[in-house]
Amino acid sequence: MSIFSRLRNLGRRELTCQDANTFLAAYLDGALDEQTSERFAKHINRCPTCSSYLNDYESTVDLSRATRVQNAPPELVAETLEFLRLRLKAED
Amino acid sequence: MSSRQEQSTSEPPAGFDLSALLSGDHKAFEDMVRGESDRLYNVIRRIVRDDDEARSILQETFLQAFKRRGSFRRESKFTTWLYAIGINLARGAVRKLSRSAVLTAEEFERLQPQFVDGHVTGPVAQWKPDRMLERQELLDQVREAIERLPEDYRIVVTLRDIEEIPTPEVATILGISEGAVRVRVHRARQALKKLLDEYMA
Ligand SMILES: [Zn+2]
Repeated sequence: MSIFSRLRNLGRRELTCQDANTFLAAYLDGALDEQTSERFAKHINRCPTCSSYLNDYESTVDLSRATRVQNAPPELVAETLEFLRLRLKAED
Repeated sequence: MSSRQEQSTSEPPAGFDLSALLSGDHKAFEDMVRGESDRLYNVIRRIVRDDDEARSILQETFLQAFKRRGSFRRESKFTTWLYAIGINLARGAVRKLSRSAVLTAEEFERLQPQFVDGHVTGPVAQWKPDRMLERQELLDQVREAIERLPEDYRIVVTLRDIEEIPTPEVATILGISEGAVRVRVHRARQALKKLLDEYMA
């Protein structure tokens, strides 16, 4: 294959598993351009390894999100305000 | 469930008067402190991994933000700027704390999938869906795994995946490109996934 046809094919060749892997974060962000997005979907639909990987990758993100805590110490705000009042007063 | 839990995650309460705050008004400043303390505390605590240290860095962050308010340029949201200050202070402090459980760069690298000729080498674990059901124990495992991530990766997972701050804003907070945020968060997720394989597969 000539260098020119190889270059021409580069943009159209099928994605490898490694290519698909590189696009995962951009895919979840919805940041892939239309063409890349189509090629990505095509690979995922055909490749059980990547499709299962994507599934568990998304579960990983969900699990991180689920560890989010809402319970800052109840006295946190009062204590912080107290500290700031003292410090700002001292510097006035 | 308190109503706080339903609060939008990407847009914290904007219940303060920014112009008043920037001109030095203490009430506007305190309103901002009330609205931002809990979330910022949780972010800082994940970086320094210590409650008392997180508390004192939170206080210092607000103090510095107030003193340096003149340098806020309105090119980003005020909270984006505030988070950048908090994260920088937390990074400075974390060096003093023990990080025995944190993965070394080599250990982290070994958790990334390896490719030869575009194909993944070695077995790829597949998670069992029923493992997702043992919720509390599972979340403890996830927390522990996140704590072991090297600092840069722990920070990006905290901001992007836990706090759900959009990629462009994370990029501004950390002073890196959006592409760099995605690369970093991707590697962090892959390492986390691998750390959880043992439990999930
Ligand atoms: Zn594949």
